[in-house]
Amino acid sequence: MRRRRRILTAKRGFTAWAILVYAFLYLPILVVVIFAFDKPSATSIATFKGSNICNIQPADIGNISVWNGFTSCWFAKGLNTSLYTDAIKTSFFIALEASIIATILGLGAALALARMKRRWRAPFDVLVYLTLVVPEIVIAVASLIFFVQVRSNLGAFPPLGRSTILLGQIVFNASLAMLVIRARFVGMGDKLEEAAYDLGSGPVSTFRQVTLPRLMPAVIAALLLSFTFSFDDYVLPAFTNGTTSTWPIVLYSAVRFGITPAVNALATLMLLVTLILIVAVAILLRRSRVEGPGQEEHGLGAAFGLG
Amino acid sequence: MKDDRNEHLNILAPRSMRPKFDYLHREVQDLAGMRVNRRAALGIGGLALLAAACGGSTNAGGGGGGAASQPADALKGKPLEDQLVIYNWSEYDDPSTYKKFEELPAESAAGLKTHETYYSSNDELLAKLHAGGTGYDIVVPSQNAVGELIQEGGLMKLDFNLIPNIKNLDPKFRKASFDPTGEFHVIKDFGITMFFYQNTVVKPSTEPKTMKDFYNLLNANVSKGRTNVLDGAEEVVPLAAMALGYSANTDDQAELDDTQKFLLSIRKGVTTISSFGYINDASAGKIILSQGWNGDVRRILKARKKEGDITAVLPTEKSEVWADSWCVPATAPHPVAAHAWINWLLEPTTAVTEMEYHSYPIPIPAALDQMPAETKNDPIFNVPSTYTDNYEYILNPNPQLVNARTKIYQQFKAA
Amino acid sequence: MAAVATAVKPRKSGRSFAPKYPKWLTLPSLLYYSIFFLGPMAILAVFSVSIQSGFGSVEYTFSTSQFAQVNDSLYITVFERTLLMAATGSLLTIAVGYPLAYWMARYLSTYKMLALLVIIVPFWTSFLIRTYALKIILDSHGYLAQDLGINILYTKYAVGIGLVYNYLPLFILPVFASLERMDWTLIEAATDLGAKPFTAFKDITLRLTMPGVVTGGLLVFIPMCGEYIIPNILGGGKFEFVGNIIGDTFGDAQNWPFGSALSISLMAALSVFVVIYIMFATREEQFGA
Repeated sequence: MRRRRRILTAKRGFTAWAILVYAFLYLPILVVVIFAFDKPSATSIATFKGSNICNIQPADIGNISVWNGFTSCWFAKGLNTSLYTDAIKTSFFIALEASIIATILGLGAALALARMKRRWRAPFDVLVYLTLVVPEIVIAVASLIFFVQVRSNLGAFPPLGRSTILLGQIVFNASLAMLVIRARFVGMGDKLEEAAYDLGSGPVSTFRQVTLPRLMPAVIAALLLSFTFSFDDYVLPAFTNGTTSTWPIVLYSAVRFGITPAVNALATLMLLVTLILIVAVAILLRRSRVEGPGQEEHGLGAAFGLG
Repeated sequence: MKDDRNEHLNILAPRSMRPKFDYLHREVQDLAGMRVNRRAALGIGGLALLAAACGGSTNAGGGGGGAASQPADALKGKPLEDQLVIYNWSEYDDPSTYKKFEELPAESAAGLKTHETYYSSNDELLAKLHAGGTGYDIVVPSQNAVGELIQEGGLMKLDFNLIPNIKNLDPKFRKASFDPTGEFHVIKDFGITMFFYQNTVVKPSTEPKTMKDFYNLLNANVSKGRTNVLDGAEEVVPLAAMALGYSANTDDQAELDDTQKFLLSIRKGVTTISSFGYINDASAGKIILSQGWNGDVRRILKARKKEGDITAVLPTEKSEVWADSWCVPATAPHPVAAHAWINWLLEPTTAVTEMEYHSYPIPIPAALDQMPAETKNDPIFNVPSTYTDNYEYILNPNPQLVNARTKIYQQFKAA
Repeated sequence: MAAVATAVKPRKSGRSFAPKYPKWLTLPSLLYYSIFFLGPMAILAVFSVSIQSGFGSVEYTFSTSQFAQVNDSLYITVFERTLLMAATGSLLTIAVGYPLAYWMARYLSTYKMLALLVIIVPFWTSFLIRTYALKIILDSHGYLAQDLGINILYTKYAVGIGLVYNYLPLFILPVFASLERMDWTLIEAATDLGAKPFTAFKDITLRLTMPGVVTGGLLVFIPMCGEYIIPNILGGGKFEFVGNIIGDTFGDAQNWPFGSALSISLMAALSVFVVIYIMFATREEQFGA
């Protein structure tokens, strides 16, 4: 009886903590969303000659970190600013490509390394950790010089732009992916794989039907991590981008003259889209699982931890 | 490049020349008794006409100046490209300026499209150019960066034949200490560094007049609220040096040591070290004492007009004057378009739009005249020469001084 | 796939069978690192022994003068301070993140992945926007802070909060991936046999998930050492860390040789931690999890 109460208290305690952390994480997001509806300051509206207050110049907008009143025109303004929307699209696609490529590279490395003899593994590990240890500005400048010199002397690489941003980001992302996947792979135990072999399954189908599904949470974690890092990356793209603009680049550069709530509006829209997508995916998977066979731990449903 | 270049000649010439070209076209058609395309017509006497149109001498093939072959001369007669890549601060120019440029007759005939990309500091710009970043036609460095780039041969000498509107610029601003020959830059706008305080909180016994007065107020007032100084090695150290009466670009070791000691002595009086992030806070009344560039101070004054609690001070004695300039990198892929852009920005109407957008003065007298009276007469916008005569440009004359400044700056921040 | 089949070693009697994946799986990443990482690093190494000959230009030679310059009280102090900042930040992140990851892994079943996604979603808003929002919240003149009497913006506490906020997902993901494969029946069994819950946690859960925690901790600690943007915004530009110094050197001073020497020194120092981790982690792997 006492033990059950202890377990219940433990669960309650953890849940309370979880709620606190989620609140902490989402409070600034709430602020971002609220201020997407903020009006420019009263004085700037008074001196503005146009009709649409969201067209007030960033320099004249007054203080938009206080609440000046409600308006929703920033959403239209933000969507109409191709500077912003193009940058968001660019960032999105670069992040998508970077995370997929990096996870594939990292998966291969994690699989082979985890069960390799230490002698072989150590230098590779050192390399991977070196990529994580380098301060980003350093790799950014070094990569820029590298790309430029190789291109001018060997004609090899593509010109500075999306591809060079991608190439640079994959270095870090692949290491992340490798570590995340390996952390799980190592402790996963090989009993199931052993059983599969005993039953006559070949290496490839074992991998496909036993190992990979069990690794799925880590693979997905790696994808998410890489995507997040890449989408939000400022320093590396700032140097290797040539003339391409990513979302962080546009934002950082805009700080000098002032960020308008249009930026908050776009961020709010992005949040909305992501949340809708997540909910949709969750519902779809739930449904597919309910209709599918019983309790086996395979399939994408299990990968998403549904059941 | 488009293949139909053979069918069309893209001419870069002032708009006023258009009737002359049309006339010539028709004349030649008459002469030849058949339709001739513009290219042939111009081949006849076009070059001479072009030279005349550009207001220079008609030295055959010589172009204005006639100095030893400069890269810019090679631009003569070159067609307008179809792209212009501008590397600039974000939101530094009115969006309509780009649109209207693309709609100009010559530019729209060439199908010219502008493409902007952004940096967030001079250092980023310099680092990328140094590392070999090419592909930019226009860059907007501050004066110290211009000096550095000139030193390394990173900038193209401008062909002012392609920039006839240069006559609109106040001649005083053609040459500058950071570009003695004036061939590498055209000033975009300029500003000065001043300071302000919240007079309801900061009540000095004597009215502060110099930058040194500003520094002296820091320690006493930091307990009453937030104080701020501008950020960056190239601001912090020279501003302090000037406050002590030294030259902004002094490399005298004794003077630098003095500056360092002085900075460390006022360090405790500084709440934040920021050049951009403080503006919003100041508009909200959260900053009681700070340095600032005049355009930003105007914004703050405007934002706090109702409360009226900001006193802005133009420093007597030494302070900083800075200038952002249009420059063309030596590796620019579309130099003719770059010159056309600069020419466009020197149009008085464009300049007026720009000034209304970013609030910094552009030294084009015709444009300044058109600004509303309250702006024109505002000493913070149009700073009187009684002040600016004492102000200096902060420069990066050599790496040793820059390294020394950086170290002092880091010691200041780390203290 | 004959090539793959032969890479699978036959079962050894008595020992647990661990199918080895073919070594060539590492080739793509190895190749990738060699070109896109070692290439730039080689350039860095060359710069670090060169001499600055002008702005952003370099005289190629072999000189240790740059490294000699690194050995200066300013940089050493800043480095120590950075380590302290990163260590504190990492510990805080672990303290905040581990219970959350535990909760997700143990008590959730249906919505496990969803909970994970919900953590990640805030990080698809731009870092700059998030941090400015944090600024608004922490501002002593702002709403929340005024109600709660907090005045910590531009102090190290604000920086700490900012660090934890931005590095949390980086920690949670690997730890979660590791916690998630825990067999919770082991805990049940242990407590059935009379172990106190905390002992069960300490001896079983913590030990089994240590690789994940250490991976996550390192994944957070190391980048934090190079962090300078969060301190700049939330610290009011008053804090100078190694990241700032390196940024200033490449940026303000355009001094690549010295910047390279600083970077290599930093990397060497941090590698010490990494080596310890590698020794620790690989030991775990060899004896099974």
